[in-house]
Amino acid sequence: MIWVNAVIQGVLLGGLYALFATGLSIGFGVMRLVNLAHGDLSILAAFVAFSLADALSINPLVALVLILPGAFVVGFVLQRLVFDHVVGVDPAYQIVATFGLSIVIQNALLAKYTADSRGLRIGRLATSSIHVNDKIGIGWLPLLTFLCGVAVLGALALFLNRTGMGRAFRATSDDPEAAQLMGVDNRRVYAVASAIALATVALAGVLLGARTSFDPFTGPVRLIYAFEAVIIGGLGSLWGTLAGGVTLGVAQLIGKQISTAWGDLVGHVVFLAVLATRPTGMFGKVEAR
Amino acid sequence: MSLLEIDHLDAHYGDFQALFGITLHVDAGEAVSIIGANGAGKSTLLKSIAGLVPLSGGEIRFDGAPLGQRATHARVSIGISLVPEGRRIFPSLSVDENLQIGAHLHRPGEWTRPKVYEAFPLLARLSTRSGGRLSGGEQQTLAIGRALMANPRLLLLDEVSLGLAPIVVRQVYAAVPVIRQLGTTLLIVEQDVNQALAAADRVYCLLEGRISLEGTPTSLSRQEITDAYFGLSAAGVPPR
Repeated sequence: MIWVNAVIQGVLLGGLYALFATGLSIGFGVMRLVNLAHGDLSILAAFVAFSLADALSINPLVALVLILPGAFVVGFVLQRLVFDHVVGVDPAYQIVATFGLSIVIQNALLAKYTADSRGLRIGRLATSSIHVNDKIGIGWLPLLTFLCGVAVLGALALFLNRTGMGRAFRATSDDPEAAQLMGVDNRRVYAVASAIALATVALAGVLLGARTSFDPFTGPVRLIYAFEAVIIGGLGSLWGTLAGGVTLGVAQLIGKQISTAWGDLVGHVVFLAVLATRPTGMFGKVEAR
Repeated sequence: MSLLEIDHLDAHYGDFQALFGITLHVDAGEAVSIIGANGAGKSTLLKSIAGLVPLSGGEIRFDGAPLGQRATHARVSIGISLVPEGRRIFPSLSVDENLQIGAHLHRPGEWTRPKVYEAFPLLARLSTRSGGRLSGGEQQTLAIGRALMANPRLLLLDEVSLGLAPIVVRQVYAAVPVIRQLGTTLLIVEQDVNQALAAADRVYCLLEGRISLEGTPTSLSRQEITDAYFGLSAAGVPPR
């Protein structure tokens, strides 16, 4: 029964990983941008939630009402100021620019918040759960997190398949120059893509902060998990991202069940196994340009 | 006044100069062909009109107004559409979606999806098929239909016949009169000289980045065209 529990918790954790991975997947899918500051941006959002909750005496989850639109705007501006200059050129520039951004965020957080671990206090929601039986309980927060992940991916799928802007996203992903010939403003597409990516990763960061502690240097590990989820699921496939997140979550928690130190290890091994046997991932379709 | 006026246009790819002082004009309602050998600069010329290649000298005016460094998508919004060499169909979009993205800017005009399907019945049968699973002729037809969805005033056609069987080329060119009838001006780049002469009111020949000949299909002799195309002087010796 403990194994069943590990799988259930792993699936729920996978929803969070999928939320982290969604933004990376969008950035890579639409403009082949690999944002190494992705994890740090999520932690930045968690710290902002921490400060807002403190300053306004509100629940950090309520602060999302302010954080999500804010992240959307920050993503838009970040694309215009930084990422636009490194899209469509030698990938080395992307690495330097986004890695630099990552260092700037980490050190800014360190200067403002010190290296202490923080957590977001969200009240009873953090500990209440659905009692299934003596061995299995489903926490409300992990369940809500998972549902958030599914809802975000569902909304994105609708956006991509049913709207003109979504169609422009897919066309730009296929061939940015041909998309411009259709009248698509690729800079606008890129800016909206980054805005969405940042909003999703901010949501992920706040939900992460609600379930576990974080410090200014938590970002890079989150980035690695997000990468693994994207690669396992397959680049460019939204539902693949969810499948990848769930696979990684289940692998980690089964590993942890074997031995507490094995959680990350088993996750990495599964990731490497997928990379070795199926480099395009479970549902991959985007190829390098 | 001409719809498109190009005045002493130069264009470079890095250090390599592809176009040298090109001057030409296309009047509203006209169909003009540009012929020339591989590497003569035909595609570069169309790309610089569409804004994909920056001009390094001279000027392009559309409807009297200089285009300057206006972005490609902004040129589509004023009525300049390019059917690119190699078709560039979006493989992950269906045929129908490829047409819809063509109308991304919702420029008003005669061309709508039903109208395109009527003009190209082939596309109507394929509407739900993925753009990545079309034959060359189907792709070319879709590329033209997709560009028409933007209701361009000036349609630039780049190497429409390339890689297509002769019968398919004829089918594709059969659309030209329909396109012109609805008021679209055409600038056609074509390696197939016969096709270029048949489709156009006027012809320019490009040779190594310069205009080597201009005229109407009826006024030009085969010999003149051959000379201008291959860069042979009247004596039949390549100029130095």
